[in-house]
Amino acid sequence: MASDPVVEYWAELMKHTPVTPDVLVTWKRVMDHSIEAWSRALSEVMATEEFAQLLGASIEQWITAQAPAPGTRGQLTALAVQVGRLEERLRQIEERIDGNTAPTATAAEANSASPEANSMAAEPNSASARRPLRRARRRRAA
Amino acid sequence: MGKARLYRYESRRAHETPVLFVPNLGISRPYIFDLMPGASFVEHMTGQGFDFYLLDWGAFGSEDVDPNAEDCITDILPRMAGEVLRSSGADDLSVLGYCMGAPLSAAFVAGHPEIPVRSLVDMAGPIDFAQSGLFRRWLDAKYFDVDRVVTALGGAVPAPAIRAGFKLIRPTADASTYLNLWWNLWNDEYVTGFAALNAWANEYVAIPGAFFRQWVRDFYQQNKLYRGELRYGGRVVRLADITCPLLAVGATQDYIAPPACVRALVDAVGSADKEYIELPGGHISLIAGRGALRTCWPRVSDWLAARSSSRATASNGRRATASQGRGSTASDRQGRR
Repeated sequence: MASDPVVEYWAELMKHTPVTPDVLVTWKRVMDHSIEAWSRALSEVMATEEFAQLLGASIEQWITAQAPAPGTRGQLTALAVQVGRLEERLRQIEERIDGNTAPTATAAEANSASPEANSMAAEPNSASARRPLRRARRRRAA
Repeated sequence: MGKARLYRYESRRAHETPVLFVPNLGISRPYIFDLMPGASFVEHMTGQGFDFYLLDWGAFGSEDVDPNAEDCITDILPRMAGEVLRSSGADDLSVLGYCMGAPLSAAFVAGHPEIPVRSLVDMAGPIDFAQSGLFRRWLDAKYFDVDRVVTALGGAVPAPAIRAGFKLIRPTADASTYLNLWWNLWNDEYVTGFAALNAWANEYVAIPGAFFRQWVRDFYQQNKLYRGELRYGGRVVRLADITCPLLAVGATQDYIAPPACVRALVDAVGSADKEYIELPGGHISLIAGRGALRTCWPRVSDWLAARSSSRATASNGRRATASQGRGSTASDRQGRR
């Protein structure tokens, strides 16, 4: 019959245990032995190809999760619309800088995107209109 | 030299040859080697009459990308060795590497024959990475794309990631540690030692991204140092070019650098005077704590003493100065309190 390592350990332990055992010492020995046994068992598992593969897959999943989320189709479309409007606004601003200050219908529609832009359309020569213009130019240069 | 600092601990200088100590880069802080009075490797070595130079690679943060391993071997270590020779006035020096500091030291000694290295000691430093246990398995190129990992992390491999890796390699370590603490709570000496060691053990340090890339690819995955294929600084690094006396010290229960991968250095070098010893303990207990004072440190200092030129007139009473930092042993600090 094959010997059981746990039974063997207990037999060895009891052989060296006094008739009146110190329960605490025995308990400590059992705990040490258990921890060591767990350590050996876990080490064996962790040394397998399967574990390395699993660990690699977990890391890969984590890396994928770190990448910026692409968003839904609707969100992407909305973003594209906003970018389109911004491009249009920039075009209008460039035109005005070049001396063509007459707002077009398209520009008025585009400017409705923000209160600041509305004030630009209504009072193109006011201070509040010039400040955003300067900001826009700086951004463009950058 | 970036964040690297060299601390000099002066001794009565019974031995003319100073010791340059090269620990691991990142992972943990080097104060483990001067943890507390009676449990300080620095204190032991200076007590034995060696001027001791401790290289501190630096406390890296998650923003650090540099240095890489090639910078360490071909730039930082040669300059530090030069600084040791200049400040000590010695003709040569001994190099003592611990953990990843050992393969870096071996590569530095092999690749710089112009630097007069009298002897080399490898303490728990992996050399043949094919035999380096669980980390070798986990970092296999089949499963671990180091470039993708470092890119995803940004700059460095941060301290929490380092901690996770080291906790995983020995998942029952904490249970064992705290069980032993509970068992020894009545023992003041044990508790004091535990508090100091535990504080150090939980202070993890990031590894610069560029270093981690080369460390994993060139050492763990391709084992270039052992195979004689490491080409740093425009020349191939061959361990066989090491001809100075060599001592390699392995620890029986070392999970990080198992004895076989440390012992490999002895067979790889071209030295005539070479020795391997295996001592009880693990990766940390080999070099830290009061147990090391009984088992490891005397073996290392005796071996070095036999291979260092002795000094006829010892100059007593000199205190710690530093080339780029100031060193004072744990005993000094306690004395000042």
